[in-house]
Amino acid sequence: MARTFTLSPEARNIPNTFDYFGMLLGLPRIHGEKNTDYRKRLWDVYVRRANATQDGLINGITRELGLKQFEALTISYNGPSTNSPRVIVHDTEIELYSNWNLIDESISPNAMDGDPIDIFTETSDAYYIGGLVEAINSSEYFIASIENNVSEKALSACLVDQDSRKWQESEVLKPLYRNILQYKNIVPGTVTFSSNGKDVFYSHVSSEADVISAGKYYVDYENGMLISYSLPAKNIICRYMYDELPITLMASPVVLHEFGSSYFRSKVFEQVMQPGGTYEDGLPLDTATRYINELITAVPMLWGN
Amino acid sequence: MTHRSWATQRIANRLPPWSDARVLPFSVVQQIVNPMATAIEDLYHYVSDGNSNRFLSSANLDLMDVAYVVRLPNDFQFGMYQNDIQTQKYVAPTVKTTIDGKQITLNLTETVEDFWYNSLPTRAIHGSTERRVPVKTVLDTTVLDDLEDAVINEIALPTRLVITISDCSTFVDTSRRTEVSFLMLTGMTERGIEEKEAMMIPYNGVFLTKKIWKSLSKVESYGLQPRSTGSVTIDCFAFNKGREIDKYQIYVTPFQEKLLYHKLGSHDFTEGTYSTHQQMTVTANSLGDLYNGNDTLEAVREIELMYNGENLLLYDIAVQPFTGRIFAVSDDALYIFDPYTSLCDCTRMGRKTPGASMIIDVDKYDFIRGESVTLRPYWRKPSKRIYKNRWSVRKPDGTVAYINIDGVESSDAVGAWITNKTYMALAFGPFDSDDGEIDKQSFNYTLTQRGTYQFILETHYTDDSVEKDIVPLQVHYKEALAKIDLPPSLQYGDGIAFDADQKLWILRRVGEGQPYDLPYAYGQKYNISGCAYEVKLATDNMLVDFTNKVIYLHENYGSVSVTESEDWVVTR
Repeated sequence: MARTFTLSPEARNIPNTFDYFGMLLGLPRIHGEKNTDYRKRLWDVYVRRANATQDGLINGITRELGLKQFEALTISYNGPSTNSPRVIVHDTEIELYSNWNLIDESISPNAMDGDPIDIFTETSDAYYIGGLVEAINSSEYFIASIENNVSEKALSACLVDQDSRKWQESEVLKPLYRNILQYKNIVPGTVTFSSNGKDVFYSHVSSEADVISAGKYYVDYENGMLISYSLPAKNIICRYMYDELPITLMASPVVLHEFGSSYFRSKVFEQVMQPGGTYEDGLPLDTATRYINELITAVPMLWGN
Repeated sequence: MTHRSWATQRIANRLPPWSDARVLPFSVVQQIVNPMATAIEDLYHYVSDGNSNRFLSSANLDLMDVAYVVRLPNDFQFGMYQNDIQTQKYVAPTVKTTIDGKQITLNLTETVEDFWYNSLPTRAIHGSTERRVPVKTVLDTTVLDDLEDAVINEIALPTRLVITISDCSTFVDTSRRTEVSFLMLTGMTERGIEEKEAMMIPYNGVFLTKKIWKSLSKVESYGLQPRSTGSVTIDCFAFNKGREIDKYQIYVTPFQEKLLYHKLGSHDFTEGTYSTHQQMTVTANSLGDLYNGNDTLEAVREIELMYNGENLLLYDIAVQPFTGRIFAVSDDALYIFDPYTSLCDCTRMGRKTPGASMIIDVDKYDFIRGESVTLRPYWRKPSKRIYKNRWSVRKPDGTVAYINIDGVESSDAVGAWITNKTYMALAFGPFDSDDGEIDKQSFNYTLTQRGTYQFILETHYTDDSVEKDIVPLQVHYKEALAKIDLPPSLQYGDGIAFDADQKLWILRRVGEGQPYDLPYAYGQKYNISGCAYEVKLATDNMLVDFTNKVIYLHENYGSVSVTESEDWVVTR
C-alpha cells in the first residue's frame, strides 16, 4: 500500500557564475537568495565600500545582512539666497544652519535655524521620520519631504551621518577658457588649484570681465564655472567645497553608534554636573543598559574594563 | 521538431556560387549539413552566453540559483520499473501541491537541463509580491535640436531604457575618430552613482541601454542628422515597439548576411485576420546605405501563429533574453513560440533526377497560406529534345494533383502532359501553349494548406528518357510551444516586455479617467497612460535523486504531498 507524506521544501543554493563574482568580491550568497537580489548586493560592493570607518561598517553590515540603504527624506533650503545654508546629520541629531560662514566666524557667526533636532531619544518628537519631517518644516528656512515608499514610522536614528557641504577632492581642468566644474554652489574661499603638488593660479579677479591677461582667473561660485585667460600649467587639479542642497538623506536599517562619541554618550548616560559647570558621564540610562546587556551576551567581557 | 539553422546556409556559402548545393535550401548537401549546423548554432549559443556570463552586468539572471529540496523519510519506498530485458530503474513518486485551492501534480524531469533550462513555464502569477508601476515615457518624442531643454521624466523602475531613434538620415560623425553617431546619457544608475553611457546609433531603430538607469539628467546627441527632424524617444519598457532583434540568429542568403528581427504581423486569411510572426531584415545592402538612413525593414518570412490548430489574435511579442523564445500575449493567455524557421518536408525528394535538364524555377521558397507561387520551367541543359512535360503537386495533406497548362488542378494523368508539337524542328521548343516558348509556360498556383508543397515537373525526351525535378515550397506556420492562461489581473493586456532583471511585464491600459490600482505615491506623481504588471512565471517541475531520497523542486511551495510509487512491470 503506497503511503503519502506531507513534506515542507527547504531552499538550497546552487552555485553559478554569480557565486564566482561573490567569491572575488568577498560576498557570499545568502541562503535562498535569488540571482536578481544577489546581483544588486554585488554591485553595492563597488559603490558603498566596506571598511573600518563608521560609514564603512554600516555599508558592510547592511550589505552582508541582505538589507538595503535607502533614500529617506529630502531637505531643501528656502531662505535668502545670500546665505550659505548647511545641513549636518551626526550621531544623534540634525543641525540646520541658515548661514554657515567658513572664513571668519567672528565677522559673521554661524546661524543655526532652531535647536539641533534630537533623532535618538525615544521621547523626542523627531524619533520617527514623520515627526522629523514635521520638526524640520517648523524651522524658518528648511523644508523636508519624505521619499516614496518610506514609512513615517521608520526610525530617524536610521539616518546615516551626512553633511550637505562636501569636498570635491580632485577634478582635472581642461585647457579651456571656460571650465564647467562638476558641481555648482561652490563655497567661496575653498577653491585651490595644484599642478604636480604645487599651488598655481594666484590672481583671482572679481568678475569675468577682469580676466584679461595670463594668470588671472574668476570663479562663478553659484554656477560652478572657472574662467581663466590661460591655464598656467598642465594637469591642473582643482579642489573645492560645494553645497548639495536640496540634499537627499540616506538611511540604513543598521544603526551604529560609538561609545566614544560625546553626542551619543550624552543621550545614554546620566550627565553629572562637575565643578566648573562641565558635564561627565554618570550611570547608564535604560537604553545604554539594554545595549550593554546585549553586548555582554554576545562578547565575554566586563563592562568598564 | 528540428529547425532550419541559419548556420546551414552559412556553411553552404563556402561552396561555389554556381552550385545547386549553395543556392537551393532543400539541396541534399544542405539537408545533410543542417544537423551539424544546428550543433554549431548551439555552440554559438554557449559561447555567446558564456561571454555574457563573464560580466556581472550582462550575466544571465535565469541561471539555476535556488532549488527547493524535499527530503524523503528514510523508509520511503520507490517502485521499480522492470521489463523483459532485465533492465531496472526506479519509478518516480507522485508529488502534488495545492495552489489557490487547486491541486496540481508536478511534472517529472529527467535531467538538470530539462528541470531548469529547457522546460517551459506552466503558470503566470501576479500576486502581492509582484510589482505594478505606472507607464510613462521618460523622454517624449523630442527633435534633436530641442534635446537640451527637453523635460526628462522620472523612471518608473530601474531598468535598461528603450531608446527609439526616428527620422534621422545621417549616422556618421565625421568630427570624431569613431565616425559613428552616438547618444550620450547622463544620470544615476541603479548602483546609486552618477554615470554616463555613450550609445552608438548606427541607424533609425530601437536600442537598449547597457546600464540600468534610475534617473536621467541629460541626453545629448552627437553626429545624428538632421537635427531639426531627427527625434529621440526614451521609454522604460519596450511595449509595442514593433520589432525585436534576434541576438542568436541572423538572416543568411546564398550571397549575404543580415541582422534578423522579429515582428508581430497580421495577415488576411479567408477565415479572417489573424496574427503572424514576421522575420524581418533591412532592405539596405551595404553599411553605407544603412548609415545614410535607408533602414526600411522587409519581411523575409511570414509565419502563421497557431495553438492546437487554431489561429491566434495576439497583441504584442517579446523575445526572452538568453533563450530567444518569443512570448506573445492575447486577451487571456500567454503563448510561447520558438524563434526558428521550420524545416521543409523533403520526403520523396529522392525521386528527383540528379542533374535534370529541365528544372522548376520559382520566385521564392517561403510562403504564407493563401499566397500564390509563380512556377515555370527552366531548361538549363538544352542537350536533348523535349517530347512532352507534365506538372503535378503533392500537397501537405498528402493528396496529389496534376496541374494543366493554365495552372488548374486535374485528376487526368494522361491529359496533363503538355506535348511539344514541334520537337522535331526546334530543340528549344516551342510548346503547345500561348504562342508558346518555354518561357511562356508559366502559371500561378495558390497555396491553401499549411506545410510543405512539393511541385513535380516530369519531362519526357525524344530518346524516351524521363527526368523528374521536385521543388518543395513551404507554407510557414508555427504551433505555440505552450499556452499559459493569464489570471484576471493580467488579462486584456496591450503590450509585453522583459525588463533588466529578465522579468516579464504586461502593459494594461484602461479607459480615460478610470483609476489605477497603484500605490498612493505613484498616483499623485504621474499623469499615467497605462500600468505595467510584473508577471512571475512559475515552472511546476521536479527532479528526483533516488539514491539520496531527495526531490528538487523548481518553485517554492508551502508544502507538498509525496506518494510512494509502485512497481511497474512491462512485458512484451
